[in-house]
Amino acid sequence: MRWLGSLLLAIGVAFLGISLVTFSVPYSYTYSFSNTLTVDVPSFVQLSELKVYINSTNVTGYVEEIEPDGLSHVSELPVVLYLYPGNWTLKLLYKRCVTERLEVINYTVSTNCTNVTTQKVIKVPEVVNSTKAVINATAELRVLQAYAVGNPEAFKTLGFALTLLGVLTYAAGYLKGKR
Amino acid sequence: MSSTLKVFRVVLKERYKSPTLELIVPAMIAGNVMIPAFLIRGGFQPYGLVLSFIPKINVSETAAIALALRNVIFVTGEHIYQGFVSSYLTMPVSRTSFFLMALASDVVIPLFTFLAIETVYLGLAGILNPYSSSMLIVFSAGYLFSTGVIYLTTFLLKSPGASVLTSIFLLSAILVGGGVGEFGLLISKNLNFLPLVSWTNPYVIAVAETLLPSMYFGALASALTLGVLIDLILGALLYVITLLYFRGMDL
Repeated sequence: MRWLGSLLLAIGVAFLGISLVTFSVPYSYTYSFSNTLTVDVPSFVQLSELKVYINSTNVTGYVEEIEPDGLSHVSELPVVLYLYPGNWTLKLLYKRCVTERLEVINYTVSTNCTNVTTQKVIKVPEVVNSTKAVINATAELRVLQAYAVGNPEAFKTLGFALTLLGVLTYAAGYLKGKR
Repeated sequence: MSSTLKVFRVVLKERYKSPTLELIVPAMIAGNVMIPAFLIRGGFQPYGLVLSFIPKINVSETAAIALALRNVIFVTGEHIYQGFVSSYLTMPVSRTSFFLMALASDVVIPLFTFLAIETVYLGLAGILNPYSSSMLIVFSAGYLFSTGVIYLTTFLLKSPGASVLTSIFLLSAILVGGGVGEFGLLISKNLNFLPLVSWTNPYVIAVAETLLPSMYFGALASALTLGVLIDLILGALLYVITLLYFRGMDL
């Protein structure tokens, strides 16, 4: 009886201790990906942000985010996502590249007596669309707050209850042994 | 049957006197904070999880091994050295069943305590996935092999200091030497010999597999499985040798 009480007390105190642990130091982790990134956010992570960006300046990247509950939406990079626990999939699916092409055109100048045709080089902007991304995106993950267990409040209650039960069991055993 | 149970109760009570479980179980529960810490540092990638399950990093595994080491060397071993075991054998049990009882309470109970705590904790933290459960299996196989070595040295050497030093040096040599060898094979891309040495230190292969999944394409999983099987077979063999030795031993 007394050994059970002290064991319950020890487990309860350990539960209380582990439910009070928080990882609140912001720490960033960098992923580099070119088509798909899967981030499996465990349930003990309360708040984390993911900043997705690309370094190229002349390319506009888009990312399709598939949330754990199946919703998906497309947003233009750079984007900051707030992740909740679950399995997130990011697909880098589209790039729009604006380049400039040089083109020689015939250019006619009308004067008073005659028309003079010359050639001129002009810059034509050209938009290149591609459904397959060949660029690398960087995703920076920052865990803003995390606990050691998924549901710390329930764990705290359980730890408190076990501690109380352990003390009561130990006292009951002690009194029974004394009598 | 009931007399066997009574003897088992005596054996169990001797190993788990009052402050033993009260110290080990909270240490195992609280030691789990290393797992989320490594997982956050590793950006929720599987190798963070695998790294946190390496013995000596993981406090719970170290506590389980420490409890088994103490049980084998300083309880069962003490009876062998001092000759107290003959008084147990005057009770209505055979040598084989006494050995099995000692084995169950020395080795199996710490392992089951560890596995129960880990399963509950990983389930509550939401990280009970194929990676963590296979690391639990890898640890269990290595644990059974290590305790087999400790059992055999305890029964053969009949001295606590000698058996502690011999088993620790032997296990460290296997773990470190095998790990270095596997690392050499991995960086020289010589994967054909890897299944032969993977039983010495499966953690190197597990880390390599999860750190660079695109490089190996799961080719190391078979080496890991074979290593775990070899560990289990060697552990069982060591226990059988110890049992045979114990049955023919002069007390």
